[in-house]
Amino acid sequence: MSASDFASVLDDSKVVVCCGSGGVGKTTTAAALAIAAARRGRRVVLITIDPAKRLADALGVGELSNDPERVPLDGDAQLWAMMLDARATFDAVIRAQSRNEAQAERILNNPFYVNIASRLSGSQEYMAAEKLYELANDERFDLVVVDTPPTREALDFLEAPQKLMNFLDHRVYRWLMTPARGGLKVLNLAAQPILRTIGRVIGADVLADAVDFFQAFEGIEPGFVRRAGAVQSLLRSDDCRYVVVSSARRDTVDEAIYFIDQLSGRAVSVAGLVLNRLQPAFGKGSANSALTAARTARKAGDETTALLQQNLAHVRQVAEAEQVVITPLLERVGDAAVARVLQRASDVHDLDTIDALGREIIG
Amino acid sequence: MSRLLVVAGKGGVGKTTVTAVMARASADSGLRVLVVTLDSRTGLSELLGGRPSDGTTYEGTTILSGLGPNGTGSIHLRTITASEALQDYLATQGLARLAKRLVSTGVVGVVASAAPGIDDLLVLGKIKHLVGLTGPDGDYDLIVVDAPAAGHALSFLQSPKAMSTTIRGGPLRSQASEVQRMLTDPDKCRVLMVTLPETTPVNEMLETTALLRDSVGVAFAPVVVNNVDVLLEIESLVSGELPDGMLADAARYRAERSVLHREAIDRVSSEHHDVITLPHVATASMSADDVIELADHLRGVTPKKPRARKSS
Repeated sequence: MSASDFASVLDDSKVVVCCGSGGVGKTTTAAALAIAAARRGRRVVLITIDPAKRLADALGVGELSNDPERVPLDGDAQLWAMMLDARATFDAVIRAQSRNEAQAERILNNPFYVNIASRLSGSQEYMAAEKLYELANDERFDLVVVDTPPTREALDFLEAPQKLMNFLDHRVYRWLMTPARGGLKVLNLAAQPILRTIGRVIGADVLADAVDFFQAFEGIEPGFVRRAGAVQSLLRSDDCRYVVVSSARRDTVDEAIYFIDQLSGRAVSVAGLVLNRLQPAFGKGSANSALTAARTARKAGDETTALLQQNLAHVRQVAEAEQVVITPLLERVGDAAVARVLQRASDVHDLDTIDALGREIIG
Repeated sequence: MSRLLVVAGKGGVGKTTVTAVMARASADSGLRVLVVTLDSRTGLSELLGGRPSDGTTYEGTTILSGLGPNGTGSIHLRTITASEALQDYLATQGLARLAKRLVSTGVVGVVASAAPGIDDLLVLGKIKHLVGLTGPDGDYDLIVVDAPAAGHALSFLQSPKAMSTTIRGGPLRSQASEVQRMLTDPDKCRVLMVTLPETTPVNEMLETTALLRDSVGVAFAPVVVNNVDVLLEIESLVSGELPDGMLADAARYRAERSVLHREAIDRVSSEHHDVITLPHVATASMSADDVIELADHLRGVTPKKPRARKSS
């Protein structure tokens, strides 16, 4: 029996972050938790990242957006959902931090910025965190449930604000930002051997864009770093709870364990574990007992029973293998809330099924 | 000269298992195979029968040799990371001394953010170099790449094209065009898409395939539908009378899945004429033995004697 349950995880937090490797049903689980919390009377907003199309359609978030849309649920459950537009979120941060419109435009139109906003490793994670911070401080909502981008380095999400701070704090950046006399600095820069080399590799015009970006960024940096710091504090506070989603396959379990270890290394603990798509075992017996029964039936010439027992043995064999695989994960999460969700015959992609899944997790 | 097979698919579909199976089946047919991974934590080495630490370096490890009818088959595994590929690239540009400093100070990391896909392009550039190798040390028959998961696979394979538009000149620009030429030459390179026999994975595989075809122009190997559990015998059993209880429940559970799997395979087959199915394995933890069994299945070889399953 777990010391904690999902109901209290959803009732007592301001932010719930769902993490796990790709293909474990993370987005669906996030949606199920959001609906469950809304059913419990909380005003919930769900941030999804690149959901499968049918799931997005079910939630009414078929397109990238920066504003949450109300999800039609029966009763008085209040749920909003959005599909994160990382680029638009980044643009909004730039606009908010810029001194004036001209500075914002100069940054937003710079090719280097465009690349950072869409491609810098961790920028999608950072924008998810940024949006989460914004919505956690929005009076309309009590709880933000967020799906995290599929990444092997699941910590990217937690580290993204720090990564951005490091990026802006980098000495190359500092060096580029040293007050220049007129346009002389840029000319001098191009003469530096190290930049000449980089220019040779990535092309001189790309380098010029980078220099221009850093110069345009002048003055914004402290506000940006302060903001990233605030986002980071929220992610590490007690208001923010982490739910790990895993299937019962060894590779995803290994990933989940790795992630939990990384979190605890940063003094953040896991509040909940959802074991998704478990194979039902059908009865209390073992795979071996079914196999023995199959042999007996075959000897007796009862081919139908033999086939049925063999099938039961197969299904139980998988269920037994799964129990072995999830044991270390269960030990690792200590007294976190644990939910076991059985494999469904077909995909979960409509509101009713997600709703049912939420009830199953709450227990 | 080698042929290149890029294995791509969404997270959780068994891309790494299929990479191992393709490599094993080829080596068992006598081919010299190089497996390339971009991430040392995928467990590929153990799936191929090596130790966990094997193949985690840039230079890599020979995991198996002496395979196939004439003992010519072998599997070599190496991990190619972007920062090592960059150092390697700078060294080939005569900048070896600077390379170490640039990478260790993180200068490149910062400025290279300017060029989208530079990391991916450098890795692909290294793979192109490996494809072109001849002679005893590098002449592989086949190079199998365990590509990043779907969305990332797309940007991975799009990187040469993206770089060509960002970088208007210089050595990396020509690198980008050469890689692009390799990726789009059906005699040299094929992309193998992996999916599961379920609706959403099939939808996503078909979307990614269309995008890869249109935006990169790659040619495809057969699509692999992994973890297929089709049981016509059980399906026909449950269509008749069954006594209530767990036997019937278990049979209905598996029959329902069997029907869905057949439907999913039909959908894949209606879009791709070359479809390979790999059977469901009753385990939660793929092993090297499972990979051998799947590789035999792929080659149409029946195992000499049924092996007892080890319970882990």
